[in-house]
Amino acid sequence: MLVLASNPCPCGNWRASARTNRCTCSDRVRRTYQSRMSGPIADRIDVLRHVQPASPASHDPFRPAESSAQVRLRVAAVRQRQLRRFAGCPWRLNAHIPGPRLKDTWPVDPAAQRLIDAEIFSGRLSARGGVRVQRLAWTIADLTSVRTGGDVEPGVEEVEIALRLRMGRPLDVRTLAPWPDDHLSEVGG
Amino acid sequence: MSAATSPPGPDPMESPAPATRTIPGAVERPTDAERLARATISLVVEPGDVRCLGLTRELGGEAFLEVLGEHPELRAEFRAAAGRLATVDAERVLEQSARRGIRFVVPGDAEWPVSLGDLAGAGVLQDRGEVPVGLWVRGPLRLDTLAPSVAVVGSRASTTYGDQVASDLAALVGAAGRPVVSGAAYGIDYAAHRGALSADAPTVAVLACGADRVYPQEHRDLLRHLSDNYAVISEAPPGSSPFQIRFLARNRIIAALSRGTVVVEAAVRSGALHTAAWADRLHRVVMATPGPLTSPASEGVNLLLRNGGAALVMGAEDVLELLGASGHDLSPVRRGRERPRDRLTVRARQVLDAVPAAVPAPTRSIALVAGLSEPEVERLLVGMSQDGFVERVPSGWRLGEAGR
Repeated sequence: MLVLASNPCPCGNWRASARTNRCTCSDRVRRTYQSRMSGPIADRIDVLRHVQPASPASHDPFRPAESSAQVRLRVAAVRQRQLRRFAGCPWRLNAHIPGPRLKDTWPVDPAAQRLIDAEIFSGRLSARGGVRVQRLAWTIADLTSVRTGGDVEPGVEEVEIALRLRMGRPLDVRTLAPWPDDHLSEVGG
Repeated sequence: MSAATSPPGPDPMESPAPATRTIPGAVERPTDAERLARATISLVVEPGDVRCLGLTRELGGEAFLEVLGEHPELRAEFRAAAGRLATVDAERVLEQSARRGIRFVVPGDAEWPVSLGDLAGAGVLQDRGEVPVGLWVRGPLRLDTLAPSVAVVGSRASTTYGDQVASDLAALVGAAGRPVVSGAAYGIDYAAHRGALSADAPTVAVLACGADRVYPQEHRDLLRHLSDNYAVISEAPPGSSPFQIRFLARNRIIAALSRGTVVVEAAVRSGALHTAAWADRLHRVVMATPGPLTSPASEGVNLLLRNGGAALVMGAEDVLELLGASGHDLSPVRRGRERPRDRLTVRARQVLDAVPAAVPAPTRSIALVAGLSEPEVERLLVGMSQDGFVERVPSGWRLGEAGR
């Protein structure tokens, strides 16, 4: 997995609000800085999130953050599902399915595919991006299946989440809701 | 004068007991009998029942209870409530509640939030309205301290954007000394309580179910924290279930308790818009934070703004300005960063625009492009070169570091 992080500008003090913005970079410098990431590379980034400076108000005293160990169990269970699904194939993970196979063997729900197509037609998503959203939707469906114990079915909900993840849009917080403790036993199996 | 030092016998300074009937609902201290009567009404009448609550406000609890007992045939609402009278024991409920740390606050109590009186003239929304007969409160916070409070409400299905806006706003509003009122629901309500708590600011939850109930279950820790440190409030008596219509009654209490209501994220059909409608009815300040046009979670709140139903606020400073006294708590002016170039006169900028960035040009050609006379351009260029906007090179002028 490749993880990239970037400041909004070279000085790192740029903020969306004029009240708190202390950035000293000129617009030209900011544009140059942002264009250092070339389009074809940016197009291969599946998950884009705009993070805000940590504020005390974003802390939740009633819900302790998940430990990496808890997350690891979940990720392992998701990979297990993919391993089973791709038994006999030369790849093991959603990320490695060739585009054509994704299309003919592991499509998403037709209504969900229409969502992806609409984004492509409107120019907000490249054709390559559309394929990558589809792969991401499969991974989200794997996660849902780990949580609920149901079948892996990438539908409208999974594709909507994948699109939000890819395009840096706000996520429904229910997507991020903490996992009930009892799912861990199921994950272990 | 305390009882120990007062002389025996009737005090000549004491005015005689008024011969006229006391005016119910006025700021007189309620008698135990009145409190008991109101508790009884609270147990047999649905929260927000306009007819029964209105009559209680006008006649007083004892008198209304009399009517209910003697003439249940007068109205359909009376019959339903009267039918329940025999099944309830208000004295026992008050006693049990007190043991569990729940008190019943009624009009005339020192801590009664007088702002609720505004509900008397505010009409009816979705068949609910009027001043509650009393409020069941769990927690040490006195309700009269909520006078300067702000309600922060919004969608249960909030987004990461809305949660952040709500919690930051609640934290700053709380830090500025204004308690935060909300409904302890999922999403924005939860983020608002959490934000206020992060600033160690008072925050109270108004529930649709009894103040002893935990709803939603996942917010058990939040509700316990609020009832241990601040307050959990309900118009419905302890034990009441969170029925749908009780949310409609609850929203008017949230709007009436606070000085203003801020809606953060609301879908087209959202209870938060109902709370905003009540705030408007009550002449409270109605505020809203806009959301992305691409987000269904903000469609309702954007519509509220579009229709002029709320003032657009971009953060806590704007909320404080709108709720403060005229001329006080003014929100700082937002403006872009001032660049050195902004301090130049228009004529100087006219010249600066004509100076090439890389290949130098002589004064004469700059003057030609700028449309000004050569001597004036020369004078302005020399002045600007001192501040680094332009620099003189053998073949003429070009932009300096500050001019780029």
